[in-house]
Amino acid sequence: MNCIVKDIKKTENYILLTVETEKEILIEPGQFVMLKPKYYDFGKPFSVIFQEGKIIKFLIAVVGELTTELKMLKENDELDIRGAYGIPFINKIDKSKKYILLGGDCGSAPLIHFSEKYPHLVDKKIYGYATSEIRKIFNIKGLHIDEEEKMNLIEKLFKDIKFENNNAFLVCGSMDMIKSIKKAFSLYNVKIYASLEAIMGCGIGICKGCPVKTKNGIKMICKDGPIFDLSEVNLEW
Amino acid sequence: MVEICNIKFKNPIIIASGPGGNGQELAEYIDLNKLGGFTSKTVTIKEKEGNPPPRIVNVKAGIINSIGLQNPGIENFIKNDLKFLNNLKTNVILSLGGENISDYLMLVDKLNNSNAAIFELNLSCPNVGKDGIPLGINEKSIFELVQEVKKISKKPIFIKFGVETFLEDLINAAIKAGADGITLINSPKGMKIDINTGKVILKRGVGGLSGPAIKPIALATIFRIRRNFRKIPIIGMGGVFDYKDAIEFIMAGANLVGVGSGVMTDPYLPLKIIYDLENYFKNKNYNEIFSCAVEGYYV
Repeated sequence: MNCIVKDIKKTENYILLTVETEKEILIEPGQFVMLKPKYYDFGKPFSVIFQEGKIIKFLIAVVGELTTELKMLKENDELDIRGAYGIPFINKIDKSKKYILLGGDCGSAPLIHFSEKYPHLVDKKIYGYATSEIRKIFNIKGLHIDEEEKMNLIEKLFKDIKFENNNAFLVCGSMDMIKSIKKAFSLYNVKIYASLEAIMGCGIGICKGCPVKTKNGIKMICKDGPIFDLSEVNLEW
Repeated sequence: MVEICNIKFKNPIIIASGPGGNGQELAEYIDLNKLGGFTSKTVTIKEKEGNPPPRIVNVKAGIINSIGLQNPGIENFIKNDLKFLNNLKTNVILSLGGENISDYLMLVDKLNNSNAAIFELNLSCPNVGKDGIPLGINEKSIFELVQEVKKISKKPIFIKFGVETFLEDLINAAIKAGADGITLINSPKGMKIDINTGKVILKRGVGGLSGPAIKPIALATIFRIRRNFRKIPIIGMGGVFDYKDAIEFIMAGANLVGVGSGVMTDPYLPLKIIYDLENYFKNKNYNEIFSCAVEGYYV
């Protein structure tokens, strides 16, 4: 499906991209869409940070060729969008718990979407970024800047946040960040749901390009995830 | 309508082995029965967990994959996938992978009574084998394999090749041993390096390159083989992303056209290609365009 760029805010390393789709797509927090410029053959998955009707916002880190191309977009440029894919957070998490949201860099996007839609399930939130660059396009409650506070997201969590018995964690970020969180909480008996990132081919489970090892065999992050109970997955492969 | 090996295909578009899985996930998006055929993901005797991630990397005009033949193994395939494939109202091509002749014989024996139309022997996966060396690069071993498989197979046998050196010799050996058809081309090897770290991106370093980047290579290979083997049925594939691509493959000499990585970019793409092809064929005869480029070459 076509979508049109309505607005694009940029810093050196981030894009806040707003598009309008031809038709409304139902996107639940945690789901993703495959985005590609018209002249690209293969797209990549991106989480949504905000949606209202046909308007969708994405917070994107500029890390590779495709995201560098996205940074060149201008108002009224067209993109190809398909989805939404993946299982929504709400369908996988324990809804009797209150969640501490931990977002690493642009992994914050689906958590912010979740926080907007299901505020009653959110206890606290930390969206961690290394530098204050992000503030140029994006500034919300819960934003943590490593260089400003002289500590990273996990150090901040253990220093400032008091866990309640009913707390669980919903985390999203790079694989390195998820591994760090798994290690940091290895001695705690606490439920952690992690939304995993991966390079994907199809986004719908057919190509077997985004595997993760679980206690129930190899699963696809695109179709069986992207969210997994962290105790169920083996991230070392 | 296309007919090869006495099998009727309602249209020339099939799903190539791999990107369509074993059909069940893709069937959530499209009616597989509208396809000319569907090729299953390569199945092996034992379950394969596949290669470690990352398995996919995007490159200009293509994608490199290093899936590594992840599959459930023949017993689980029969238990969980074959019933679904048996019930399809289109031609099913079962892709088989093995390390030796006895592997293939065992697979054929276990699947001989399925409803499949064709067995495709995958001798050219770029992501398995010692150091990634594909199976089937030797005339003698291909001849022996095909000869033995033909003794027991109740289905036509197609051999899937890549762009191997001396491809004509390998195909000649396969045909002499009784192969009924050829599938061309499997993904050639590709690589991408992160220039910031100097490291290869895929864990195995190399993977199978697919997408529009390989279409000219696939066309040239099919064209060359068709010139040398006028009658052997050919399933052509490699970067088919729209109906015009499909027509080029038919003109180069392919009887059937496989959609591989294209289906990864859009699950509806194969049906769109069929729809557009039908419009194209309304005023043309399929047989008139078939191999016309090859014929033209000789004029």
